[in-house]
Amino acid sequence: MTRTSHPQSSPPVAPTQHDALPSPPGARWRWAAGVALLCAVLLAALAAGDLALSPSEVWAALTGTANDFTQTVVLAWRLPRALAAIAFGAALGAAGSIFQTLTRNPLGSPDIIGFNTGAYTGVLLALIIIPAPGFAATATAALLGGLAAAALVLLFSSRSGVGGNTFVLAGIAISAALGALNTWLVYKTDTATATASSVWAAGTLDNTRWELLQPVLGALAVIAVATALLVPKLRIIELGDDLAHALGLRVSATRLLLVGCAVALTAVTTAAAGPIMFVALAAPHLARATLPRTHPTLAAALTGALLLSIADWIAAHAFAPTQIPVGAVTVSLGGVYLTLTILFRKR
Amino acid sequence: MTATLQEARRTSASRLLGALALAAAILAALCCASLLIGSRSVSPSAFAEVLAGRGTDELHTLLWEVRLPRTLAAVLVGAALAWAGTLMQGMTRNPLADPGLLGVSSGAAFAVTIAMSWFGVRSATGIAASAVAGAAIVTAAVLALGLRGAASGTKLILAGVAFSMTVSGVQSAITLLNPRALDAMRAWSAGSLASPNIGVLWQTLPLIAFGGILAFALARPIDALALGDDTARGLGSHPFLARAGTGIAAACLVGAATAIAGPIGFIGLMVPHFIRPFTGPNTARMILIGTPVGAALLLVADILARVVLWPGELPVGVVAAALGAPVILTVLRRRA
Repeated sequence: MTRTSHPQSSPPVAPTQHDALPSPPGARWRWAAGVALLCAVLLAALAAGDLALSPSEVWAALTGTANDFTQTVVLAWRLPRALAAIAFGAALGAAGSIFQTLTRNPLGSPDIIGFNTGAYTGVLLALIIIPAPGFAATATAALLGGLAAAALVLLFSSRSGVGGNTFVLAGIAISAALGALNTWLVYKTDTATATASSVWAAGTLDNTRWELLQPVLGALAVIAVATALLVPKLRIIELGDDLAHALGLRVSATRLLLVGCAVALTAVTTAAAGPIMFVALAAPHLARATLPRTHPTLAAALTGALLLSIADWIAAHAFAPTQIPVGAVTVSLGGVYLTLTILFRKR
Repeated sequence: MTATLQEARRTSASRLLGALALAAAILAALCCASLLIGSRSVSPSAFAEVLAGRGTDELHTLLWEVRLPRTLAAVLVGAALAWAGTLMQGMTRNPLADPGLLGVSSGAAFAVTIAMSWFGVRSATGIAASAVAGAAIVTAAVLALGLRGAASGTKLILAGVAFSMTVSGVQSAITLLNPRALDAMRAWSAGSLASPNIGVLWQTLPLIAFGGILAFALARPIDALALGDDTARGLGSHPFLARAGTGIAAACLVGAATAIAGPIGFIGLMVPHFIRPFTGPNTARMILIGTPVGAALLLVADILARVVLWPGELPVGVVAAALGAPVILTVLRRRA
């Protein structure tokens, strides 16, 4: 049995980048296979489309030796979208892993507990109040709306704790109420706002352009650094609050910072691409099943990037010439996964 | 001893009749309100004139060909959903059981989407049949999973919600890929009574009647089931037949309701919680009182749907969700 050494059963040592845990043999190969798969999906995303390219042509475009037209197609049109799928997927996967670890609830991910619906409410209100909000305003509104929804869910599940199904059901109820509010807001506003918000609400990477992507990637990079610094402490919190206290960790403050990072990752992604459901939920599960368990958050980020890249490829090319929103793909695939997980999970 | 028992029965029966009369009166008032309120509001005096046979042609059309079918549809769908919710909560012993939350409405809606966009079904019979088939498949799955003990209580509800989300995703993909289907079902897929398909209404009427009769017939076996399968057998009821009957009744009722108005959740969830304080946990009484209460609740939701965005309107399913969410939260708090 090579994969029994997950963090819970290991001695309470903070895992660092140079891992103190004994890595199971084959761990490196699993990581390498994951990264290779991601590169392959990236290549496929750059190659597919109305102008079908061979892998060598894509490579030539990336290295700057192809003709101008191919360069434009690959670098200016397809690369931003492919990079966005990877970055957003990684952010959602990491956020989902942090949420699920902190709540100790395999269903406790931001998309399930009403965060996305709340973020949509925030964005709608911003669209109504400010005529043409920039990315910073949209992101702030999404963040505030998501936080308000999460706070409501916590309030209503305070008596039963966050570990059980009650927490998830409270999230579903709050989502239903906020969803009704959102529909009302969309119907209430003028047509232009309604159109803008309904494009956003579907969750799509269709219109990703460099100039829109740059601030988003910048913000995500900053939060990613903060998250990477905090994640080793998450492994200590995982051991239990008492042990973490005894090891000298300021548990409440650390937990708050971690929640802040996860919320920020989700909010920035949601503000940029709209609500993309189920990546945050499924990525940590998939990571546990396929990748070594020594770095769960990193593994969830990798699987999240893979999931969203594949889903976006399906959204863009599987039904060509029609493009469907990637949000519809993740909801359809993730919903099946979630239904089966809930029904056949052993308790 | 028997005298006191009989007297107690009589008082509770008279209380029941009182509650029924009150609910029926409220329902009648709401029906009138539903005829009068809308993007073009009708004054009570104009209504009286139309009733007396005067009034303009335009008013006649508005009242008898637009508002009346809509009100009738709300009453039928509301009662059907209340029956289905009461049956499901009684049989699964789960206070959150609801055709919407368990995914039965979504199943019916999904079947109609497939029938309309892939097989070009447009006839009222076709829509009703596919809705009932979809509802029946999901109800069978719910019952099978619940009976196996593998999935009970909250787990079943979570699975139902996850299934509904899946269906909504697939539906939006199908409608985007098939714009003609999109037009036919844009309003319907959110749960709307704005322009009920009258053909579907007449086609599904026998189904709703059948489901209602079955619901009343099943009340006693369901109460017996609450005592456990063995005791129920001892009392002379057949647990399997009771469950299968509940499944058939729920599939007919939810399928019919969804065929008329699209997937509307939360009505079946709310009604039993509202009336249990008056009826006690007696399924027959709950179904009796639930009939006018469910109809009235959906009428309230439909009137609100017309008022909150006046002169425009919201899909009634959205209003039902807004009304139902606090009920879920209350149930969760009470249980915690």
